[in-house]
Formats: sequence, C-alpha cells, structure tokens
Amino acid sequence: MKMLNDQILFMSRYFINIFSLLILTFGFSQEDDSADSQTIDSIKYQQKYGLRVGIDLSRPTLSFLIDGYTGFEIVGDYRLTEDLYIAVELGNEEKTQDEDVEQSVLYEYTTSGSYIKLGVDKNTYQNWFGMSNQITIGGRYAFSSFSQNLNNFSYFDSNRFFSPDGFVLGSDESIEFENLNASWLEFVLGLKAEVVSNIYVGMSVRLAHLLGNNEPDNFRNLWIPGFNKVTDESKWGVGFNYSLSYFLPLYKKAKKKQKKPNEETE
Amino acid sequence: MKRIFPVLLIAVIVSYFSSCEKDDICVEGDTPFLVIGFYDAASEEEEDVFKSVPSLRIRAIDNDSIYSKTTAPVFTDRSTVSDSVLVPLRIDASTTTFEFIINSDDNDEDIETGTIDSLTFSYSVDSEYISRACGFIPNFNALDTTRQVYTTDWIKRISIVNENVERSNTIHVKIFH
Repeated sequence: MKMLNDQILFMSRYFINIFSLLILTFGFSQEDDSADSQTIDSIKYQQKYGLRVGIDLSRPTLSFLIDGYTGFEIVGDYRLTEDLYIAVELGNEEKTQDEDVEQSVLYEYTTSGSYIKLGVDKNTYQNWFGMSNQITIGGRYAFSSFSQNLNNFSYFDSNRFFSPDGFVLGSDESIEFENLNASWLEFVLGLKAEVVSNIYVGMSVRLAHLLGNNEPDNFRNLWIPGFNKVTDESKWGVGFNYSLSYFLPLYKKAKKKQKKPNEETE
Repeated sequence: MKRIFPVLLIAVIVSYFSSCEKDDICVEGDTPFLVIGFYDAASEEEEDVFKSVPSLRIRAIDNDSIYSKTTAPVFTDRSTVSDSVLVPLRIDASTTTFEFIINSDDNDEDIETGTIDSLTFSYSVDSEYISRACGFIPNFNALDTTRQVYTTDWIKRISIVNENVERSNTIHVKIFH
C-alpha cells in the first residue's frame, strides 16, 4: 500500500514536471504574438461560444492501476466572455489506505464520497488565428460530502514488554464515521488543447486550501474526496486531472477588435 | 512572457507543496505508563513524603517476566527507586498483575529472599486518536487496584490519586510503605 502511494506521488510529480515543461513551450511560442496581431487585425473572426463537457482520464486510470481506489470526475465549462469560463467538476471517489510502522499496519481506513467544484477559469493564452487553445488560471469553491470507515486499528506502543510480536489489535470491526463534509478553495492552473475539431484534451493542477472540515470524534479526515491527502500541520492540498472533453458550440460571436499595434503594452 | 510568470510561479508552488511528506514518524504520543510513587507510611507530615525502595524487582505475573527497560523511561532490575516507577499495563486485558519485591536478592539456591507483595491493577481500555503517524493509543481509565494482604507485606497502604492513565507522567498510584 505504501508502495502504491509512493507511485501516485511519483506519478503526480512526473505530471507536474511535464506540465511545467509544456507551460514553458507555450510561453516561448507566445513571443511571436505582437508580430501577428497586425495581420489578424483586419479579419473579422467569429469565435465559438458554448458548453464543453468531458471526463477526467486520470481517475479511471488510477482506479484500474491501484488497488483500493475507484474514482471518476465529470468536467464542464461554459464560455461566458472572450476569455472567461464558468467551470465545474463533479466527482466521486473511494479510497482505502493504511498507515503502517515498520511493515506492520497501524490502521486501515476507507474514505468514500462525492464532491462538487464550482468556479471560473480565465484564459491567459493568446491564440494564433483560428486556434482555440487555453492556458487558464482559475479558482474554485469546492464542497465534499463523504464518510469514513475505520476498518481496523492497532494501538501504537513502542514498548514490547507485554506484546513482543507487535502492536496489540484494538479492533478489526469496521467503525463508521458518517455525514462528514469539507469545503475548500482551489487555485487552478489549466491547459486545454483542441486536438480534433471540438475535441479537447486538457490537464490541470490544483492547489487547495481547506476552509471547513467537519471531523469525526476520535478520528480525523485524513483524506477527502476531491481534495486528496490532508496533512496534520497544514491546510493545503494538491490535486490534478487530465480531461478529455467535447465542445458543444451554441453560438458565434465576433472577437473584440484588436488593439492597434502602437497601443500594445505587452 | 510577463503573463507566463505567475503561471510558472504557481507550478513551482504546487510541486513544492506536493513534496511535503513530514508526518510519517510518530512523535506525538505513545501508550502511557502507569506511574507509581513510593511514599513513607510513617510520616506525620501534612504532605506525603517520598520513601525510597531498595533493590526493587517488578515481576509481571501475566507473562512471567521480570520488568526492565533500557530506553526511556528507564528501569533497571533490582535498583533502588527513590521516588517513583513507570510500569506498562496490558492493552489486551483489563487487568495486569505485578509482584513488587523489595530488597530483592537471590540466595545460594537461587531463591528470592526479598519481600514479595502482589498487586493487581484493573482498568478499562479506551482508544484515543493521536495523529496520522501514531494512530491510536490506549487510555487506561477507571483504574482500581486489589491486593492480597498478608502480615509480611511491605506495602502498608495504597491510594489511587488519578484513575485515568493518559498522556501524562503524573503519579497515578501512591504506595505507602
């Protein structure tokens, strides 16, 4: 179990690295912008507005790869203005984990529940003519409702006088903690690329800060669906997703008139 | 490029936070010990006065073992205890029985020559969640003690001053001798 956790951690680090690399390449390619804007200026380009819905690919993949984890997430956004989107994520996750000391399990618990994340994304990427890719900065308010099952626990005891073989089992009967909930704010950094017409692949990394956390008596919310690991001493959490989505165009609207080159500040 | 800067900054912050893995070692708590203080039964003072116990041996009946501990809290077998001693309680049972042997020594035939007094502690075991790394520790509550009384006993009187053995090292049981 520990190994699997490390694997996820390793994977997420790996993703973050790729992600930062991608941002860098986007960043460099953006330098051409000012040269192009003059030519685009005269063409009236109709931009598509509509609803984009999709699924997160990472959660089903992890469900397949990792024992004790199942999850899925539906993502969606609606284009409000030229660069502002209302965004939502809906998900459900269940995860069984344990904490152990020197190969012996101290306790095992299962967390399961659903979450909703609602907020906005702002596109900061200036597309070349006809393209509609995005680098977004966004925020979410998220709420998760879940339950925790303490599947078993042993008493932590560093003294081996009465129990030379290991920790004394406290209980192997499941103890359920129901009606738990948590809310948090997320800072989202996203990337979406149109790979085929109206089909997008995207990824995002999230930095979350817990606002409210309704904790059980004599246990703690160690992991929250949608938020991930809760650490003892901080309120911060991290997450990511990889989305595949379909854009449903509803109407078209002309792009705002470009600024004249000499007014360009960037 | 200016616009990319905050984006990069966030990416760095995210990777920084995701590498925080501090809470893997349990330092916040451990199974508590029963703290027994040894006091002078003859003292007329208002406050109880400590009285040392020469060559104390503690033998646990349940696992028929002589108690000693080389790490904190240290207890050396047949050492002189000046004020108090910390002993473990069984988590998997609601009683623990010890023989407290004063002036403990063996004669030529390996027979104990000290004075033996047997004490049984009874309690209830409750769990307390400490932290991610420590998980649960037991608390021993409703502490009580029973003993067989003989005329040869070195213990004159016992009083329980704190019937909850939790995460503190204050004295729970006073033994007067």
